[in-house]
Amino acid sequence: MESIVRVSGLTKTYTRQDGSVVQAVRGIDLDIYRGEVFSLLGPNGAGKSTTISMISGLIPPTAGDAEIGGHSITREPLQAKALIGVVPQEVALYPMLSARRNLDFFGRMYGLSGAELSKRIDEVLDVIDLKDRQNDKVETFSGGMKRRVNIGVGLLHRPQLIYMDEPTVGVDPQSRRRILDTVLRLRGEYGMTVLYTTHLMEEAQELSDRVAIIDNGAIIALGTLMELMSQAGEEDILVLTVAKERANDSIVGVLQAVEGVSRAQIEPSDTDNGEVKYAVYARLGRRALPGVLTAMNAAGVDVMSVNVREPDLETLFLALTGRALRE
Amino acid sequence: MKALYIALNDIRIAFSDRSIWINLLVIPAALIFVIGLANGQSLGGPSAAPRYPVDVVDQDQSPLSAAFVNALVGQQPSLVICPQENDAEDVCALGSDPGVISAEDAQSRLDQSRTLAYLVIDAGFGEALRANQAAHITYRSGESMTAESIAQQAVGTAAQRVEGIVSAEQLARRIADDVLDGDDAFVDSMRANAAELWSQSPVTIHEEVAPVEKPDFLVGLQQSVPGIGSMYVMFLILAGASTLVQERRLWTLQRLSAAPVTKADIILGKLLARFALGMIQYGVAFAVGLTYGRFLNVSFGDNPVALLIVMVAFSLCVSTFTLFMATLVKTEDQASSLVVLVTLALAPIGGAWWSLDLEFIPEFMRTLSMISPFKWVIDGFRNVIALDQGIAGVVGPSAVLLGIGAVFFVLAVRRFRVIE
Ligand SMILES: Nc1ncnc2c1ncn2[C@@H]1O[C@H](COP(=O)(O)OP(=O)(O)OP(=O)(O)O)[C@@H](O)[C@H]1O
Ligand SMILES: [Mg+2]
Repeated sequence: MESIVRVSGLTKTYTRQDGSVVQAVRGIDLDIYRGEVFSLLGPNGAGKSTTISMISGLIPPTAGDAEIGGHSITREPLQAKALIGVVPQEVALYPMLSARRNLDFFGRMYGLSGAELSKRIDEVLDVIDLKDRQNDKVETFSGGMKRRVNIGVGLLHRPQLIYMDEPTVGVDPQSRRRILDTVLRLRGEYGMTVLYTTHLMEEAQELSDRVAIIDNGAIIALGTLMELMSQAGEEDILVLTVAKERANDSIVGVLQAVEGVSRAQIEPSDTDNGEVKYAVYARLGRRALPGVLTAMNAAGVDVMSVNVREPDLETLFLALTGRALRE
Repeated sequence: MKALYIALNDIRIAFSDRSIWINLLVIPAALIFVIGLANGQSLGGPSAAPRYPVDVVDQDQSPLSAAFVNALVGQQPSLVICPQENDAEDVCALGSDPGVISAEDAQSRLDQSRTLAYLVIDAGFGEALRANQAAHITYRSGESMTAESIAQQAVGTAAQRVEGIVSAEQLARRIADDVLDGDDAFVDSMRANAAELWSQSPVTIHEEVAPVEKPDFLVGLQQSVPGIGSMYVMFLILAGASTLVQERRLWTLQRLSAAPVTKADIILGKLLARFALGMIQYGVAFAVGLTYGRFLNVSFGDNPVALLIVMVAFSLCVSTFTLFMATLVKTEDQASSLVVLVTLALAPIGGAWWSLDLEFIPEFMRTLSMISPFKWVIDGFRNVIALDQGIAGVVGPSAVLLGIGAVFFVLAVRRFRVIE
């Protein structure tokens, strides 16, 4: 696969005013392939924005380098920058100017002008669905609308590569959905490469071809969703809910006898709501499910509900760091 | 090219807030007027040239003393000989009693500063002159002003004329005695002729002692338009420091530098924007000044190109300082306070509020003023408007301003960071 971004040994060390040293990014290596959505997933302060700032040429790395389309961001910044669309974590817009004026100004900064620029602006306004508000000042927009303009500016010059730094922060669920759909469209319809950062597991999981999990300035896991999932844990968990009066001591034995099930246990519960939950571990949970239900039926136990819990990035992060992704 | 777009965008942002007109036009227009008045702008137009009363006490009452008084009367437009020249306006402040003024009256009127000076022609003045002996005139003046020397010169001129008349009279007397058997009528007519001749001839003397109609420093609106104008130019340009800090907070500056734009383009664009806003402010200030000037008959010299040069130099100087200031401050509030502090300190020091050429300004203030860019820009304006030096008058001050500007430019470029 062809890499559009190659990051090697990227490091950023800040020295604060009081002399203390912050290692924001500690020697990151990664490749981003053309046409994929690549997510950097990590908690607050993990170093996502610092990484993006370095590979977009905003701040110089303490060590290491990044190549964008073959151009070093430190040695050929203008050529490299021209290839990238940037959507910063902040809403980087002039609030006192209209959406169109903002697009017009930043378009010119990417070398667009005249009829071409005006055509691109119309296109982008379509994509972000703000045609009818284009001449209103950005300061009159809702948070979600501002976020969309923020993305639009990054799309103007039709870059092959776009960086989006937590583009859904602080927006309502409806706007978030729209933004996620836009990201998927950018890859699907326009074949763009997207570098997406987030601290939300669901977003990374829904959008990404590949994910790098970053914590404390270092990448602690990297791969396709499948690869990371299998790393997260071998087994799915089927959770069966049974009415309390139907529960009996033999059920665990019955479940463990089903083909594909490695073990079963009663889920500890501190509330007595007339139900008992059994956790059934299986490598391929969905495939074991029919056998489990048949065995329960044969044992004369009615199953009230079944819940399949598959391992996710959250569990992986927990497994790797001993901490939850969101705290 | 990108620098130009950056500048245009900044100017657009400045004007996107309608309230800019309050600081651009409304307040400067009011201040220019008020500070103009404080600097001696008269509202009556050019006819209100000052006139100074001079009392004359003629204790001799001879034809020669009368000739002396006549030689004073009408000699200088800025002097009013009392009581002879007193008019409807009662410049002599004699009230309803325009009689003879006594020596005591004259002294007390001088003491009360109601007159510029007084003259006493002692009794025996005519006799002494005729006898070629020392003739006495007492001249007393208060200690002040250029007008005083005008009065002194007028008295000197009058004395000269009377001497001429006496010479003519003595010559006539000799001729009368030797040739015409003492014909008194001949002597009288010669004296009269001589007096008339002397009163017509010294046109040149009149020129010599004529009061300077145009002062050699800035007065009234000529002071307040460039002074207050420059002060608001500084306010407006320096506000750019706050704008830059704001752009860092909004992340628009970072976004700009993530685009394929060089640091040079960004710096140039930001400088150009502040410079252009400064020139717009000068344009507004002088438009206001010319409008007032049309009614109050004030002009701003006849060399707009020279004025433009010094305005450009000042705006550039303040623009580079703005960029430097933006590298020192951390918050927009800090920037705003610093703008007010810097401007309000430098403006009066540099003579933006009143002319430092005024006599009562102590010398150390003039020395101190050199640290203020206002001194140099006001010097340039004065050299063009008051001293008619044209472009030659702005070369020096502009060079100083550009020199200061160059220093801050280098410092600013070295310190400037997109992300602090
Ligand atoms: N200019 C700076 N000076 C000192 N420390 C900094 C600076 N910028 C970032 N840091 C530190 O570097 C670390 C990484 O910050 P960064 O903004 O990259 O995190 P992030 O992953 O983007 O977090 P978030 O999800 O909150 O945006 C943090 O500990 C932060 O405090
Ligand atoms: Mg961040």
